[in-house]
Amino acid sequence: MDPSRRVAVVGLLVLVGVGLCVAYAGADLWAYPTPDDVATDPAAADGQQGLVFGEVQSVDGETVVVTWGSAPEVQLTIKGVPPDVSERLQPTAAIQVYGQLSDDSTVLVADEVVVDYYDMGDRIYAYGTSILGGLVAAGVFLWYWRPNWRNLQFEPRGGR
Amino acid sequence: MAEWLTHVLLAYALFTVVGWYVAWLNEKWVAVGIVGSILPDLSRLALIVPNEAIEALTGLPFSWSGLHTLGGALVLSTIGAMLFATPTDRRRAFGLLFAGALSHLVVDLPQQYADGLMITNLYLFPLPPWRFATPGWYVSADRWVVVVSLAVAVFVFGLDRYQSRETDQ
Repeated sequence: MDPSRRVAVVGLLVLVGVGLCVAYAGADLWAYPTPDDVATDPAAADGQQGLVFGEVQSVDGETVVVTWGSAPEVQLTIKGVPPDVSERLQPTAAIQVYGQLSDDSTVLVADEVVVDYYDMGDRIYAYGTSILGGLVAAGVFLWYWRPNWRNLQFEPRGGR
Repeated sequence: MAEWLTHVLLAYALFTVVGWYVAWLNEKWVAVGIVGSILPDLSRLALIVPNEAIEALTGLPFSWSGLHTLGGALVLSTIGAMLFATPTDRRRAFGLLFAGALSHLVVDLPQQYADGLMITNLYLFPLPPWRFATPGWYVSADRWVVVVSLAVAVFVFGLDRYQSRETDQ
């Protein structure tokens, strides 16, 4: 297959990828209320169980305020966070909470809390090791393969 | 999600072991599988070009997370395979990129979720949003995950060197 034909196929596949991201964004993949649902009709979600992936804004005892989603972004007050968890949470912590929504979906009473990142240090660890992993992957790949820009393809390096 | 170093180390171990049984799967092809293992996290492009910016530009709903799915793995692996010259290389590259991407999704699955279920509803897209119980082995910031992955990779590396020496003698 000559380079121009491969470029055309890649172009088509990129369009398929974009279509996939559009379809994904429009798909209803959760059995729980989403930030979209809550922003559209807050009262409708009251009494329902919800799974919230939130970023911690503030902590006051067993009550934690989080933001949930990005567009729209919903602010929620989480009640009933175990003290041994809440006392370690810092603003920017990432938590998941499963519980019941109430008060026009401004409050979530926690049944279960999982902490992904307690603080910025956890985030820096995750991003730092990811960057290192990316560099290792790129380094190993380019050790064995070299780009041929003219033909827009990768070729094995001599003798490897 | 596990961080990339874990994905890379486990992919190295996986494809090196498979290479003991598949004659053509040597180091240069293991490297292709390793790249496959971080393909689904191209969804992190959202950090550079936010979903909202694309939505504002196009008027369509858009989420980069669509790439962190079974369908995304298939599309990205096919794109990657098109960057190899010969039909044989493209077939091999596709198989390894796709297997690497699947290994990424599999490694990400058994994390802790507050409702006790894996988020296969997202990862299986465009298949139906099924969910299954999670064993809840880790969260993203658990340091032991990369330690175990490193131990596995070093163990496989040692065995691989030992096998190579035995074969050479």
